[in-house]
Amino acid sequence: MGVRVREVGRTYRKGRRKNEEVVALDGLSLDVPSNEVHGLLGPNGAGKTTLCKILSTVLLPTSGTAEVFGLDVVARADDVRRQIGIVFGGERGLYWKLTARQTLRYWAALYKIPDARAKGRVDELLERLGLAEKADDLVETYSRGMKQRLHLARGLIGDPRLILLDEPTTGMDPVAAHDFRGLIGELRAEGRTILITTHDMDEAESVCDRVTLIDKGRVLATETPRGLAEMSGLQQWVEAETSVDVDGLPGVVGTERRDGVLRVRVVDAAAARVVIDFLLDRGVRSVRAVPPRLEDVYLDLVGRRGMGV
Amino acid sequence: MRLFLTGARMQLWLVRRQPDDLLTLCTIPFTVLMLMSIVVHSGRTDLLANAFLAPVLIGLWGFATGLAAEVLLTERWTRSLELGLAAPTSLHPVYLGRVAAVLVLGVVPLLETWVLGRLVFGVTPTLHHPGVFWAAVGASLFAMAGTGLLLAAFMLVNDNGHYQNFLSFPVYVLSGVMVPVEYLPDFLQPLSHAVFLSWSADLMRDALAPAPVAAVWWRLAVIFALGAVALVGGRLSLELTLRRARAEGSVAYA
Amino acid sequence: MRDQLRVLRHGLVVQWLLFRGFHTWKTWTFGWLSRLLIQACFYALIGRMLGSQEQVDYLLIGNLVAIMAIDATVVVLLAVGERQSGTLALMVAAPATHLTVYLGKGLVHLGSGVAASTIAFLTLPPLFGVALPWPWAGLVPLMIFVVGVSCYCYGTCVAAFVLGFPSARWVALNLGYLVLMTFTGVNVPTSFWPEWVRGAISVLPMTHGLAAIRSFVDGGPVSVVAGELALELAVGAGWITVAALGFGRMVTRGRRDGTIEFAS
Repeated sequence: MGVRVREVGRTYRKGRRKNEEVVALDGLSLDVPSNEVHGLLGPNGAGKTTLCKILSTVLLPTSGTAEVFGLDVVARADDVRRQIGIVFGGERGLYWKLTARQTLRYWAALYKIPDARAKGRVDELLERLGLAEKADDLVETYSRGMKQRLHLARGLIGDPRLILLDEPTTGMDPVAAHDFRGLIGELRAEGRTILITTHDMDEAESVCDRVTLIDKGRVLATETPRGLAEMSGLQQWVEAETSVDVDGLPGVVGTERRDGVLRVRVVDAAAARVVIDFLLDRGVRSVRAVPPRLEDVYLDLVGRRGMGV
Repeated sequence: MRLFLTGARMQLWLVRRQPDDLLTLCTIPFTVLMLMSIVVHSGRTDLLANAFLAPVLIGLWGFATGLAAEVLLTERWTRSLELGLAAPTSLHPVYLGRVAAVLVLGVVPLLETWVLGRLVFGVTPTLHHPGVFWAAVGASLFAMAGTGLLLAAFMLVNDNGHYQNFLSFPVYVLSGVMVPVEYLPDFLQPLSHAVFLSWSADLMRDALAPAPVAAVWWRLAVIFALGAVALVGGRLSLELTLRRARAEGSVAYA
Repeated sequence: MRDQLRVLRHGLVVQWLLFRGFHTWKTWTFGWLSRLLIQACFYALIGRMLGSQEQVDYLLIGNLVAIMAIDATVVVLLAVGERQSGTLALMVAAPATHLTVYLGKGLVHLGSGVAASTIAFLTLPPLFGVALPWPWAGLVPLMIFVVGVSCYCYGTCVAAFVLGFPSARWVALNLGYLVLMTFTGVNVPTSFWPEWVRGAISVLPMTHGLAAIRSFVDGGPVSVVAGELALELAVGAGWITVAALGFGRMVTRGRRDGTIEFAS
C-alpha cells in the first residue's frame, strides 16, 4: 500500500485567543495502492492540502494514523521524508535569485545525495523537464510553466516513491498542462505512486486511476473517474445533430439546443436507450449517449458552493 | 484636511497591526542605556544633556526614516500606489497625513528616555528653558515631517533599500545628536548645517543648560525653514516621480 | 557526518549566491560596510567628546568588535526569509537536519561580519589615534573570528525562536544585537552594571572575547587572553546547543499547530 490513512482528524485553533476550533479533517480514511495515480478533489477548505501536509510530515494529525509505504508519518517521519517528493503549484517555494541548476543541487544536498551522483541526477532532471537550455538562468527570469517544471524537478530530486502534487497545474497554460499530464504517465510507468490535489476535473479525469472526493474533511467517495460517474446515479445526456423534437418522450428531463446540436437530459440509461432508438428511427445518424462528466458529479456531490470561493 | 486625517488614521491602524514597525520604540531604551552608561561611567555629568537628547532625536529620526519612507515602499509592493494613482484626489495630503501620524509617535522616545534616566540612573535633566525646548521640539517635528516626505520621495526612486542604512549613523554623526558638530572634522561641518537635526540638537541642548539661549528665534526659523524646504522638495519630487510613473507605467512591480 | 557537511556546504553556497543576488561589492561596501564603520566612529567621537584618549581607545575597540555582532545576528532574518519564499515546508519535509542548513546559510553572514570587523580594525584606529601593538595586532582578526562564531551561535538561537514568531523578526534581530552592544563591555566595562546583571552578561557572546582582545591589545598575559577566548567558545557552544533544541522545538511546534505553510 502506498498511502494508508486511518481515521485522521486535524483541528486548528483560530481566533484571537486561539479559542475557536476549526476542523480541517474529520476522521478521514483513504487507501492509495502503490503505483496508483490518485486524485484528491474537493472545494477550497475541504482538507486536501491539510492531508498533503500530514503525509509530507510538516503537520501532525490530531488523531488517527497515516502511513506511507507502511511507515508511520509521525513515528518515522525521517524515513517517510526520504520516500516522498513534494510539488507545489504557483510561484512560491523557489529562490528567485538562483538558477535551476543551483536550486536542484541545493535540494539534492538536502536529500542527502552525494555530490557525484547529484550532478548526474540534476542534469538528467533538467533534460527531462526541458529546462536544460535555461538551466543557468535565474529562476526569476522563468515563465510560469518553467517555474512549474522546476518545482517538479525539485520534487523528483530525491527519487521519491510517493509524489505529492498540491494543485500542480495552477496557472499553467494548456500546452504546459498537456505536457504535465504526459509526465504523470511516465512517472507512473516508473512505478511511482502519485497523489494529486486539483480543482481541474478534466485533469483528474485524464490522469487519475482513481479519485477521492473530499468535503468538510471527510471522504464523500473514492472511485475511478468513470465509476464515480456511473455510481453517482446522475442523469445522462444524449447528443444528436438534429432538429427533431423529443420533449414528449418518457424519461426526458429537459432539452437544450446549441449550434445545431440537440442535448437531451434523461433520467437513466434505459431512458437514454428510448431516446436514441426514437432518433435513429427518424433517420438521425449522429446520435450518442454521454455519461455524466466528473465535473457534473463533483458539482452534484459537493454542490456549487465550492466554486470560486 | 480630511485626506490628511484619513492618511493619519490609516497609518496608526497599520502600525497597530504590524508590531515590527514599532521597532524604534524597542531600540530606544538600549540607545539610552548605552549613551547614558558611557557618560555616567566617565563621570562627565555635564554631558548628561547630550545623552538625554541623543536617544530622543535618534528615535524621532528613526521613526521618520524607518516608517515614513517604508510607507511608500510597502505601498508600492502592495500595488496600492497604483490604486492611489487611480483615485480621483491628490495623493500628497494622504501621505503627509500618514507621515505625520508616525511623527506623533515620535514623541514617545522622549518619555522613554526620561523614564529610563530616572529609573536606571536616577538622573533627569533640568529644563532650564522649557519654552525654548518645546518650541524646538515642535519645530523639529514639523521639519521631520517634511524631511520624511523628501526621503520617501527619494526612496521611491531608489527602491533597492541598500542605502536606507545610510540614514542612520551617518546622519547621527553629521547632525551632532550626541557629539556636537564642533568635534567633527572641519570639512564636514558646513554639511552639518544643512541638516535640520543639527540645529534642533544644538537648540535643545542649550534649552537644557542654565545659560541664556542666544538667537532663539533665528535658530527656530532655520529649523522651520529647513523643514519647509524639505517639504516642498519632497512634494515636488513625489509629484514628479508619480507623474513619470504614470507616463511610463512603472508603478507596480509585477 | 559526511551528509551533514555536504548540507552545510550547499547551504553556504546557496546563501552566498542569494547574498550575491542582493549585494554587489559596491552595495556591500558603500551601503553596508560604510554604515558599520560610521557607527563605530559615532562611538569613538563620543570618546573624543569625553576628552580622553583612553576613552577613545576603549570605545573604538569595543565598537569595532561589536560590528561582528550585527552581522552575526542577521542570521535571524534567514529563518523568516525561508518562510517568506515558501521554502520552509519543503525544508522541513526534506531529510536533512534544519539546523545544519541554517548553520551553513549563516556562514555567509559570519564571513561578512568578520570581513567588516577586520576592515574596521585595519582602517579606523589610525584615524582616531589609537595605538595598536603591531605586528602582533595582526592576530586580532583571528580573535574577532572567535567572537563571530559565538555571536553566530547566539544569532542562530534567536533565529530558532523567531522561526515560531515571524512577525517579531526585526524586533528580535535588533534586541539580539543591542543587548550585546549594551552589556558585554563594548562601551563601558561589564563591572559598571549591577552584580545581578553581570551573571547574565557572562553567558552572553562577545563578553569574554572582547575582554580577551582588550587584554591582548593592552599587552596582558597570554594565559588571560587564551582563557577568555576559551570561555568565549564555551559560551558559543552553549548557545548552539540551545539553538539545536530550540529549532527542534519550533519545528515540532509548527507541525503541531499547523503554522508551517505550504506555498500554494
